[in-house]
Amino acid sequence: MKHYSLEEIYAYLDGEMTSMEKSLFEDHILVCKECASKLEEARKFFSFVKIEEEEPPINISSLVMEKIDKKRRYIPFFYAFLVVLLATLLLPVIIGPSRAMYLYYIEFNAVKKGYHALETIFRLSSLLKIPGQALIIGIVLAVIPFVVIGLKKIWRKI
Amino acid sequence: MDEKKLAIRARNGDKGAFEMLMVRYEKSLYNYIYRMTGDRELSLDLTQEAFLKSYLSIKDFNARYSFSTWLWRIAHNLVIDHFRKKKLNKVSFHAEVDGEDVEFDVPGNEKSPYEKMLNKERREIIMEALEKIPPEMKELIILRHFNELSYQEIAEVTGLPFHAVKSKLYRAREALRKRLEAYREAL
Repeated sequence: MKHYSLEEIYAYLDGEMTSMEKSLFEDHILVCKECASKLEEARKFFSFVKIEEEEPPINISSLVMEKIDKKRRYIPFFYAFLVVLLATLLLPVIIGPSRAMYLYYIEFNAVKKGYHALETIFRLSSLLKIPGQALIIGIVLAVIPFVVIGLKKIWRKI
Repeated sequence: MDEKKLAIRARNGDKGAFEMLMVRYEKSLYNYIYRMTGDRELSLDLTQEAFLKSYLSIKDFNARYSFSTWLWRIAHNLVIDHFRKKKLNKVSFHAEVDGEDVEFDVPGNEKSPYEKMLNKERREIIMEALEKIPPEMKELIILRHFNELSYQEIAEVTGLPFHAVKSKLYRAREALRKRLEAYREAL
């Protein structure tokens, strides 16, 4: 008589036999004491090894939902930041060439009118400040929402 | 509602459906990670991370497969990454098992204090024995005996070929049985 291996007996207990294999096995253990005792041993082992699951100490799903909601809340801020930052970076690019043309015109006129070279340099430098200031203002505007969020967090912790 | 329908709804952007899936699996996923790492705090973090990862990549989820297997695969990768980062060759349960309280109040669990004590002892014995077998074997035991995954699901989670699961699981069980020899009368 062909005996079943322990590996096959485990597969039976795991519910991993086909219905044909299962019925052949069940017929076999009715007549084979050796396999029946191996099956009994395997059953004991399975029930000994089975231990209850622990309850997680916190509600994990609601914590994850909070994190997901937070992420969603931050998305508009993130896009606002991107828009302001891009606008700010583009501003000097837009303003730059027009200012350069304007400066060239002034300089040209100044030379024509016989202005002092120092005066021309002063005019030029003061006009160059405009894009720089725009950049700083833009960055400050973009950072404000994040500062507000940070302050809120600190406030909540207090 | 069945898992597949919930997973499809979650993939279509239904947050409530995703939450229902989380509620369904949070306990067993937490237990899988806890039994693999032996660290309760870390298990809570990794369980959350697994759920967040699955939420962020739910669009890639293929509804032909089981959501739970997909989720377990994410958790399995997180646990492996954790061990790689920590350069741990051996997974340890011991510290936590020896901790002051391994039993939690399970709703509807009306076991007597004596039964609870026996269960606690048995849990410690099994955890200790599991600690002494290689982590890959331990994972197979956890997935089959504690999470009750089928051979096919175990193959999908661990990346092992299907035909290898049966033989590897057999070897893992034999290794565990050897470790539990001292409690032979109970087996």
